[in-house]
Formats: sequence, C-alpha cells, structure tokens
Amino acid sequence: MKLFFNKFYLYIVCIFITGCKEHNTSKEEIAVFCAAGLYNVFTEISESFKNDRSITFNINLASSGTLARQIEQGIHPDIYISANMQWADYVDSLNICSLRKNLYKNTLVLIAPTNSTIKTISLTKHMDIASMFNGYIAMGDPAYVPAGKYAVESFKSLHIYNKIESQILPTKDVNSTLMLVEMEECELGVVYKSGAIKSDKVKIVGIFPEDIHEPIIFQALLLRDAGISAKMFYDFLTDSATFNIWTENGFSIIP
Amino acid sequence: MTFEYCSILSFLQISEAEWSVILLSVKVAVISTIISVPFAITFGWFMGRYRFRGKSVFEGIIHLPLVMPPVATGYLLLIVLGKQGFIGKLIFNWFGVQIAFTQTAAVIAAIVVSFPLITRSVRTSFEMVDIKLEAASRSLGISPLKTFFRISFPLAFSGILSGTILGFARCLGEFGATITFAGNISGKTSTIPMAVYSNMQIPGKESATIRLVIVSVIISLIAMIIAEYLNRKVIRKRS
Repeated sequence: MKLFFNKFYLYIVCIFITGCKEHNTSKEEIAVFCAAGLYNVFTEISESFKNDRSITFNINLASSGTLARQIEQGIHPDIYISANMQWADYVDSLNICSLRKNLYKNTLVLIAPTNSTIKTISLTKHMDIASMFNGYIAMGDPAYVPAGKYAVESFKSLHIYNKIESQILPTKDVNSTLMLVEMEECELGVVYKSGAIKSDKVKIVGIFPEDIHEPIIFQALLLRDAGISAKMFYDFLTDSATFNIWTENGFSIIP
Repeated sequence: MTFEYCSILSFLQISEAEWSVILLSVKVAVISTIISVPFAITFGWFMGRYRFRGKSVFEGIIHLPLVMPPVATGYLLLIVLGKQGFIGKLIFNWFGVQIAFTQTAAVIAAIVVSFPLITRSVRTSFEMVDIKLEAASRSLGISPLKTFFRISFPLAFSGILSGTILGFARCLGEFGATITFAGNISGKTSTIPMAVYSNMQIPGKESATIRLVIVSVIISLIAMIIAEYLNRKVIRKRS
C-alpha cells in the first residue's frame, strides 16, 4: 500500500514537472486583456493572425477599468488594449510596459431596440430628451466604464445630463449595455458604433458629435515581459492586413 | 502612537454614502428574509414529513439556486421576469410595471438564492422532531394545525431560526444574480457587494472598499456564530 502511494506521489510530481517545463520553453500563448467593446474586432483579428501559426489566445474581456485594476494587482498579460486614454496612462504609469500605440478610434452612438418607436434622435444642445422615453437609458457605469464616461461627458456638454440622470442604468461594461437594449429592458442605450452595427436586435438612433466628448481612442500596450509572438501580434494590430476588419467594425483612422 | 490611533479611527469612519449602501443592503435582506421564511417553513416541513413520487427531482429544482452560478440564476430571472420574459411581459402589459432593475428585482434575486438555504435548514430541524410526539398530540384529539404550532414548530424553532439567519446573511452577500437582474443603481439596488465591486474598479477608492468589506465580514461572522450556536442547541435538545 505504502509503495503504491509513493508511486502515486512520484507520478503527480512528474506531472507537475513536465507541465511546468512545457509552459516555460514554448511561449505560444498570448495573453490579452482587451476592452469589452472590442470583442468582435479582436476575435476577427486574432483569427486572421492565427491563420498559419499555432498560437492560442488567452483573452480576458472586461471594461478597461476592471482590466487596469487587475494589471495593477499583479496579473500581467502580454498586451493590454484600452478604450480609454486615462486607463492606458494608468497602466503605463506602472512601469511595466515597453511599447504603446494608438489603434483606431470609435464613435459613440445612441441605440434603441429594433422594434422601438423611436426613429432618430438628433443630439443637440438643451434638447428635450426626457420626453422621448420613460424607462431606462443604459450605459456603462460612468465611475469606471469608459463608454459611460464619454456618455456622461457628452450629455453634460449638451446640458441635458440632469434631465436623464435619474433614468441612467449603469452597467458593468459596454456589452451588458448592448444586451439590455437587445432584451428591450432599456429603451435606450449608449454604446460604441462598433458594437451597435454587429447586432441586428438594436438600431442606431443617434450619433454623438465628436466635439462634445474627448476622442475615443483605442490604445494597445505591450508589456515588458511579452514574448516574440505577442510582439508580432502587437504589430499586427495596426498592420494594413487588418485595416478592413477595423473599418468594417465601425472604427475609423485617427487623423 | 496617538497619531496612528487617530489615523486608523479616521480610516474606519464610514461615510454617508457607505452608510446608505449598508442600510439599503440590510433593508433588502430583511424584506427578502421576511418573505422567504413562511414559504421556507411550509416547504421544509412538507419535505421533512412527506414522501412522494419525484420528491428528489422536486427538491433538486428548489435547491438549484444554491449550487447554480448566481449569474446564471440572474440571467434566468431576467429571461423570465424581464420585459420580454413570458411572465415579465404579462406584468408589463397589464400593470405597466417593469420588474428588472428595480429594488423589487433585488429582493426577488435575494429571495431566490436564500430560499433553498432556509428550506434546507428548516427541513432538517423538522426531521429531528420526534414523530411520536406529534402522533401523541394527534391521538389526544388535537387538530393537525394546533399540533404543528404547539409541538413541531417550537421543537424545530432553533433550527428554523438558524436557517433564517443564514438566509439573511446570504441575502446580504448576494452579488451575481443581483447585478444581472437588478443592476447596480445607486440608492436603489446598490448593495454592499455591488458597491465593493464598483469601488474596486475606481482608483483611490481602496479605503472605501476595505471599510465595506470589514462591515460585511463582521455581519457574516455574527450571523454564522449565532446560527452555529442555535444549531448546537438543536442537537442538545435532541440528545
């Protein structure tokens, strides 16, 4: 019996040793912390990157703020893609990144369920938005979700924030916002154009003018410990081969 | 030394916003527990006393929220009681009331996850009550209802109370189902776990996070200690 257990232990130890070794020598995994609003475009780009390589992506999808906090707590991916300059600055300030660059920019839009009676809403100063809906307007929690921050900033510069403040339903990320409008739980929602055009259950009813909120620039940060494949993927993000993926998903070039 | 003492004190100073979060959590938990308990007692008693076909399946369904991922529970609630859900749609059409993302939703989520916990405890404590005592009471011509309130219920009381306290603590800690079904609306559904979660995301809110965590640790610990004490009492009574 004792012999059996000794063998058993040895077996387990062997598994651990071999397991560790494999992990260290070949870095074919790329860990990416990616802003939730970038889900579609990221999937497409990673698919086309994987094409002739044997690489697996470990992707962690959440709001830029959540991800930044996780990185701060010591969980280091190879690449961090942020939807917000401040969060990118914050991660950059931790002194763990080697490279940083702009990707593309996104547009903020107002969405409603496809069968909603609301047709178009032109977002102008002092507009009477409150009379257009009774229920909730969903947006990322302005405290930490960039999309929500941009939304509040825009409503404030249009001087209509106080009219809708009580109807805001803060969500944990921009994908939840989209889901709630798709489920018709909320009459309106503020999301990125990239997310809105990928869903057939919602329609875009308004586009936020670019001059009323800070530009929505997506940035990628390469962490210092990242491997060669990760560096290649980092370069690939702005490669001309991926240009169409970005534009088809509603992104545009930063002038 | 005095300075350090002062800084710790000021660190532990709970702000007004945090107080409102704590009070809201307690409010939601109290309402949920009050609604849960009568049903849990009925169900627990029924389960502890009767056998019938398909009992284990039935019990499994009731206990589902205890083991299911709370987020999944919340999603199911959203599907059923949301504006487009088959029950939620009727309610919205008839009464014009939206259930999801209101305080009612927070209460419903808390009830759903705490109900099985209370029921379990109630059931066990009824099973511990000697059937002979009930039979004796019935043989003396006492009605079943009176027997229940004079014999079974008092004997199972500590167990029921312990389950109730555990359920209350579970309500206070409910996160997954609540954030999916009730959201994190400040002043309405933003309970301690919600506030901890969002404070964790915001730089500079570390101390607020820690304060709320301390509060929930204290509440949970007290609840566990009381529940454990009552459990022992049940066992002592039995032996």
